Amino acid sequence: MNDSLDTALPQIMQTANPSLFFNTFQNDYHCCDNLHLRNDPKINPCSTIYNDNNHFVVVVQHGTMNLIINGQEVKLKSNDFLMIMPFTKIEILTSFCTFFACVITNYIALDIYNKLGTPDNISENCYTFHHYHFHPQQTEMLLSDYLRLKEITLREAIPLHEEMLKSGIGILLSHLFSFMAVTDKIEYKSNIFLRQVFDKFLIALSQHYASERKVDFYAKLLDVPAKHITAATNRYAEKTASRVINEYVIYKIKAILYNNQLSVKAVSDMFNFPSQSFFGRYFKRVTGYSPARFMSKHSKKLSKQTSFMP
Amino acid sequence: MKRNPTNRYIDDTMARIGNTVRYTASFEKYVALYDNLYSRTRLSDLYAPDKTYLMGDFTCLWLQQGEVVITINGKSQTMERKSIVIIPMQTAFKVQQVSPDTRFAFIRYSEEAIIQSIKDLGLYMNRFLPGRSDVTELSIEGFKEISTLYDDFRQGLAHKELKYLNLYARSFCDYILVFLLNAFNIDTKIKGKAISRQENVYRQFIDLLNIYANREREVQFYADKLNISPKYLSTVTQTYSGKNASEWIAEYVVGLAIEMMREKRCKIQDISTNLNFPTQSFFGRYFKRTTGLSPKQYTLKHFDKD
Repeated sequence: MNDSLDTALPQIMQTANPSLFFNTFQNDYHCCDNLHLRNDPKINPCSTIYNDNNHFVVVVQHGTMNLIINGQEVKLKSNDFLMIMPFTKIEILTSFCTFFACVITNYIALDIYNKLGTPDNISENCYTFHHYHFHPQQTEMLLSDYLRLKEITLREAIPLHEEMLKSGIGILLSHLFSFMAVTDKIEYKSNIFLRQVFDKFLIALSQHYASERKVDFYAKLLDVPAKHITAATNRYAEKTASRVINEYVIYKIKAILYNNQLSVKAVSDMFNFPSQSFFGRYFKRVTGYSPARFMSKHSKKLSKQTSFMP
Repeated sequence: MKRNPTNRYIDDTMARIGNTVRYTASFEKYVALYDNLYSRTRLSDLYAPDKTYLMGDFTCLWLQQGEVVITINGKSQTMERKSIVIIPMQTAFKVQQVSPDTRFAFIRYSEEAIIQSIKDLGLYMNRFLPGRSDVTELSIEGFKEISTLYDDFRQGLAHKELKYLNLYARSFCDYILVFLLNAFNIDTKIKGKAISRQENVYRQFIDLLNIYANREREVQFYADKLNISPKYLSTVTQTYSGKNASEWIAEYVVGLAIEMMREKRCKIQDISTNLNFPTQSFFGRYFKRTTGLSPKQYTLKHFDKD
C-alpha cells in the first residue's frame, strides 16, 4: 500500500482505527467508505496521495467532495462518480459528503478489464480521471454491489477469498460501465499548448507502447520536438518522458504477468524486446525487482490439483 | 457450440428446457435461472418424473421448501428444505417424487459458461466430478446467502437494457460458483506459489478431458485446443504423470464407459454410440486394448456378482 494512502485515510475517516472502515485484501485491493458518518460527514483536507498503481472508483452519495487531481479542480456532487486512473496526484480538500470507494491495483483492474471487455476510454488512459453524474437509482445499485463487496472483504477465513472478491469487483464494474455507457461524461478541456501535447502523447503511447519505447519516436509521431514532450510530462506528471513511457509499459506488462497464462519469454517477445535477458533487466531497472519475483508474489494462484480419476 | 447429434439424452434435455422457455431469467445461452418461488411452475414440468436425463450442462438445485427424491447416477437421494445439490455435466439425473408444496430454484450453467468460469477463476473441473454430487444440507447462513444471491442475480438479469450485461452475468456466475465451492467445503487450498507453465498445460489438458472425453479421442484435438503441438502435450503429461496423452485419453474414455456399465446397465451398443464410436466392434477393440478385457468380459467379471 502507498505510504501516503496509509496516512491519508485515517484523516478522511475521522478515526484512529481506519481498519474498521478501510478493508484491505493482500494489498491488492481496498474498499473504504464513510457511510457511518451520516450525520456529520466532514472530510478534513489531508496530505497529497500519489497514486502510481491503483484505479480509484469513488461514488459520492450525499454532499459535495472537493478534489484536485493533477492540478485540475474537481467538484463532486451527490450521485457523482469519479474514476481515477493510475499515475495521478490527488489532493482532497475540505468536503462534506458520504461516499464509498474502491481502490484496485492496476494489474487486477487490467485483468478484469481484459477478461470482460471494457469501454474503450477506460483501459488505455492514464494520468487522468473520468467524471460522471448518475441517477440516484443507479447509485443505489452501486451501493448494494459495494456493500456485498465490503462484506466479503471482512470475511477473512474463507477459502477462495481472492476469487470471490474478484468476481465481486466484476459485478460492481459491470454496473459502473453500463451506467457510464448511457451517461454523458463531464468534460475537462484545456487550451494550454503543453496540456494538448501531453494528452496527444498519452494517446499515442497507448497505441504504440508494445513496440516503441523511445521518446524520439513519439516526438516524430506528434510532429513536435522531443523537448516539448519532456516539458509537458515534467509539468503534468512531474516525470521525464522516458520515465512516463517506461512506467506505462511496465504497467501493461504487469497485467499480463499477473494473468499467469504466458511465459516471461512470450511476454518479452510480445513487447518487442530483443531478448529475454534484456527484458528482465529492463523490468528490474524500472520496478526494482525481477519479473519472476513479481510473478511469485502476485500472479494469479492456481489451486492445487487433487485426484481426478473416478 | 456443436453438439454430437448421436447424443440423444443431451438433445432431449436441451430441447425440453430450451423450447418451453420456462426459465425465470437468463443471459443468452450462457446461464439460466429457474424457480417457482413466485409462480406455480412445478419441478415435474421441467423434468418429467421417472425419466432419466443425461445432463448436458452444469446445474445447481436447491430447495426452499418441500421434499424431493432424486436419482443421480443411479443413487437415490432425498432433498429437504435447505438441501442443495450440484449436478455436473454428463450425469444421469432423474426426478422420482416431488411433494406438492415444493419450492425450488436452480441455476443452469451452459458448458461454455462453466468452462469460462473455471478458466477465469483458475479452478479445476474435477471439483465437480459426478462422484461428488451428493445432496448437502446448507447452514442457515449459507442458505440465506444463496437465497439472497439468487434473488440479486435474478433481478440483475432482468435489466436487459444494461450494456455490459454479459460482464455482469459472467461475474455473477463466477461469484456463485465460488460460493458453491465454499459451501460444499471442497478442499481448495491455494498453493503458495505460482505454478509453472508446463504444469498449467497439464492441468488444462485434464480439464479438457473432463469435458470432451465422451466425443473426442485424438491427441491432436486436445493439442489444438491448447494451441500446442501433440508431441509437446505428450511430453508434458509424461513429465507430470508418467503417462502420455493418448494413455490419458484412453483411460478416461474407458473410465466413462465403465461408469455407464455400472450405473445404467445399458447395452454395449448404447455406450458405444454415446461415446461417439463409429461402430460397436471398434469400441470393443478400443476397450480391450486398454483394459485387456472385452466389454462383456469386464461386465461379467466386475458387475455380475450380485
